[in-house]
Amino acid sequence: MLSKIDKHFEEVLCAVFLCVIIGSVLMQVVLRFVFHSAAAWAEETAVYGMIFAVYLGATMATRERAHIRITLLISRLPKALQVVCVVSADVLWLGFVIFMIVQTTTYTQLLFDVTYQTPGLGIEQRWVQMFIPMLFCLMLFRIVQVYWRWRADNFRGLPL
Amino acid sequence: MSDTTISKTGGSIVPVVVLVTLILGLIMAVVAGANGPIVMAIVFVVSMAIGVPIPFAAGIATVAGLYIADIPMTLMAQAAWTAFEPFPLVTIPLFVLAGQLMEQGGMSEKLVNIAQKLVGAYKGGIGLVTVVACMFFAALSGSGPATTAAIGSITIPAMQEEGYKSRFAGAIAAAAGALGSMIPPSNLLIIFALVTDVSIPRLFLAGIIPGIVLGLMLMVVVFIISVKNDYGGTGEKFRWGPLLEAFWEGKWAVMAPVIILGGIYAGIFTPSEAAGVAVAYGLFVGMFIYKGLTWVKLFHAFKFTAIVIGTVLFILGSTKAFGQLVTIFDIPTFVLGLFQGLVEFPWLVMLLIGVFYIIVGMWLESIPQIIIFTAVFYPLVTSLGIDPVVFGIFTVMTCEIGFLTPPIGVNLFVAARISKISIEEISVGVLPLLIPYVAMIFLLVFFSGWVTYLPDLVYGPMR
Repeated sequence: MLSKIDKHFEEVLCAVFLCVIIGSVLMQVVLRFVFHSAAAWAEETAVYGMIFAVYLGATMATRERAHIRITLLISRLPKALQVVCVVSADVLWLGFVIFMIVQTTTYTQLLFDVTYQTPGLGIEQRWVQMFIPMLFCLMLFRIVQVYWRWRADNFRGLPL
Repeated sequence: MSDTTISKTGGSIVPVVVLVTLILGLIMAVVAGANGPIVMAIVFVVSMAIGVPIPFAAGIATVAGLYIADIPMTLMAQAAWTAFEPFPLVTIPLFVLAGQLMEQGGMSEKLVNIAQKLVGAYKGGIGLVTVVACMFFAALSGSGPATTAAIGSITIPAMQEEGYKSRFAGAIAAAAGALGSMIPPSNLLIIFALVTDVSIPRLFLAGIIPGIVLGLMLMVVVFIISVKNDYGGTGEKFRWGPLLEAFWEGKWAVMAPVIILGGIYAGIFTPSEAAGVAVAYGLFVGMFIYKGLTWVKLFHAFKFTAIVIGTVLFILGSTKAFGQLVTIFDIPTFVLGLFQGLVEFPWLVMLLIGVFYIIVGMWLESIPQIIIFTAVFYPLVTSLGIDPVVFGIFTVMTCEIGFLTPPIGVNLFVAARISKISIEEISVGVLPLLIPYVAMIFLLVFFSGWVTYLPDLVYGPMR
């Protein structure tokens, strides 16, 4: 059960959010042609769907090590240096993700102190934006997970 | 993506020296207190060189820049959300998904079939078919690598069977696939439009003629090489009957660009809505007409789209603040000063920018490249009186050459994987096919009037 969630969590959610985008955009078309009206909120749901889909796609790519790296230089280094490079690169990446978690959390706290309603849906920005730090946390977890698997694999190859 | 891993492993001293120099450079720049942009550039290059994924390397460089300019870091947090707010951006995931659905659903086969009846009998038949089919598919899809994959996976094996050299077969698909981001719809043109506020439909219209001309030039090159090497060609006479039959057979695939582009230019949909309609259409045809789309393939298409937007679009979040930094550090003025002596010769400036873009494009993905450098060069170019639309087409054209040059040429990776040869081999094979691209760059630099002909005709001249 847990491994199933681990395997498909982002995929399924991402597919759902992509469907939200498609649904919102198509609804606008249908509304305009069939009912001659427009929904101001559909644009917002499409954008929110896209934002979540992008972040979930990024965490999914983290798990699958699909992020685009330039390996031209490191692939020509001696093995030991390769590991040093990739690990320090990932430490930098990890540092950046932690930095973003801290910053987006402070920013979300700031949003909790003010009222900032979205023009279309009329919901508070904080209720949607608070997912960003959570998604960065998920990415953090995925980076650590890759190393966990690398250790389980007796440090064979590169954690790529 | 460890595709770049080249068979030679370790041992050599040169890479180690390069690495040490890079790191020394970084330390020296920080110690000597170099100015913001230089530190940013070095941080970006070093972190990319040791293997930080590109979006995060850009993020780290931006943080360094913010730190030097003493700007509150919450700007990063804010950008992580606001960078994705412009509505036209939703066009990109939708077009990626639509292209996937159309490919998986069996439309690419029908397009290849039409092209086969059109040009298949000439010398270099399947090579020409690849180019024509890529032009068709480019009108459904907004991405170069996707076009290479969709058409190449069918035609490359066919070419190999006919005795084409593998590296030539792969190179044709890679070079013609790059048309995917020139012929509208185009993801790269959407990004350019978002950065510069040029209208998307105008850019799309401007892409049509250069795209077709480029396709024709590619066909000429393929034809010449095929005649030389005596590749294929049944020598059958061209007949209308089979062509029309193939058209009828593939009518659902041919209708897709008509609906997408026709809808945009007739003013029925906005480009984003057209992308939504394209997804619906691809889904409908794939599931009910061609029946190529199973649930597994459908899920795969969604997953593919998720990975693409997660790895490529994600960079917007970390580079939004970058764009603001460019303004704060006043880089455009600096660049303007650099080119001060050349204002008399806009063509020389364009050529220099082109060379620079091509070199950068060898290393960087196109979307980050457009976001970062358009902010830097666009003010300069418009102040020289060059049409923004022409500059957009020019930018995408240079990025396409980036697709086709090692070490980071996405189209080459895709085509090399399909034709089962190494990157080095295909990089050699693609060289003759780069001639049309370079010729097109010169055409754009020296005679640009024809590019804006179509948009001016439809929308009237720009203000």
